[in-house]
Amino acid sequence: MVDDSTSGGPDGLDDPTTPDDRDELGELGELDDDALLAALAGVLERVSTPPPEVLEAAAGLFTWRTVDAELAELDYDSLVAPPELGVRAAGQPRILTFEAGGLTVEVEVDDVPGARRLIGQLTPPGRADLELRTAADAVVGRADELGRFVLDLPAGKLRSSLRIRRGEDVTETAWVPL
Amino acid sequence: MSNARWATVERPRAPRPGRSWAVWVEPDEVAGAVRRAAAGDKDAWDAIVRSFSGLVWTVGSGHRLGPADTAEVLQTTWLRLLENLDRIREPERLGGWLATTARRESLRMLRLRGRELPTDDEHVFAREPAPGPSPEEAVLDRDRDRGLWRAFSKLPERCRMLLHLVIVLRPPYAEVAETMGVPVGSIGPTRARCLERLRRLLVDDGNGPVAV
Repeated sequence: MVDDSTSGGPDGLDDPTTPDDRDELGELGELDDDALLAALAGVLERVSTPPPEVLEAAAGLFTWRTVDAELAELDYDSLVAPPELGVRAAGQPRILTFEAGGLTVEVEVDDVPGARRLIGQLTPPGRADLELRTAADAVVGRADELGRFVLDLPAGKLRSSLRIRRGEDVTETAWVPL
Repeated sequence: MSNARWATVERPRAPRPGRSWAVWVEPDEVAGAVRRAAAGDKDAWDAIVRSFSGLVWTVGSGHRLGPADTAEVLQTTWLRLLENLDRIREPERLGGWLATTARRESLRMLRLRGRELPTDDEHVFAREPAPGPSPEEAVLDRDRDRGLWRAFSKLPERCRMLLHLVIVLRPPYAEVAETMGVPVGSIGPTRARCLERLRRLLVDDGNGPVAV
């Protein structure tokens, strides 16, 4: 499997360009597997990392766990509370509203087969980290500075809860099939 | 983007036979950090994130995901760990758990994007290195390390993923095999082949383009 034709003979050493680098790299090339992996480990540890903002977001996830979430109760569901006339027009998107302390979460289920989405609005508006949880799964996302967000929904209807984090405040909606 | 954070990562300790070369040399240390984080210790969580994000990132990139999708895989993988912190059965094997979780999330992302699974053929995806010094090279203070990184960057994606996995995960390599989606028996030979390629790249560095 190993093709030796490119590894050069003894005369590979007398290239004049950058003799020091060449020597050092050449020495690395002579190391056995374990020693070469050890050298590589030292390099990977310093450079093979995600961008700082990605690391920061991962570290920030910890508050999901430590903070007690406030429950946002389901306040309105167009599926169970049809519009005032008593007739729910076919093909109308389903709309749900959740209320907690000072936060209102309004969501619309965009039921396009193969590309179901949850489109939502937070009031008062503002950025927030979001996590849509089902029993087995979680999708993360973010609300923009106007409080708007879009999250991918699983293909089937599953009991779900939306977690909203703004700074230290975490709100969790009641579990409903979405 | 500042490189300061990258430079704060601790120097590795000397490797020991049969051990991982990651920051966490001792499995007990990893298990301890998992327990402390489960008990609410934010510093322990930060340390875990710092130590293993590189591995998770490599698994995502190794599945041909772009930076945005890889970032999402990373975030979801950490979320999974957060949910399971007090349920991890072998906390000392956290790296393996994270790698296999990251693989599952990567495959899910690929399905979501409607893309094909990555091919096993390393030659198809031999990567063109960008010219000039990379930001990564800037944080490496020794010529030797820069040269090693340059050579490593020229390896095919699958080789880079495999070498990173065998560095961070301890033998036996069942988790490496699972993460790569290959039989465990192929890990040894592939590892040897990738290291041999790396050696050739090191020896030929400065001699112009290398036939890999």
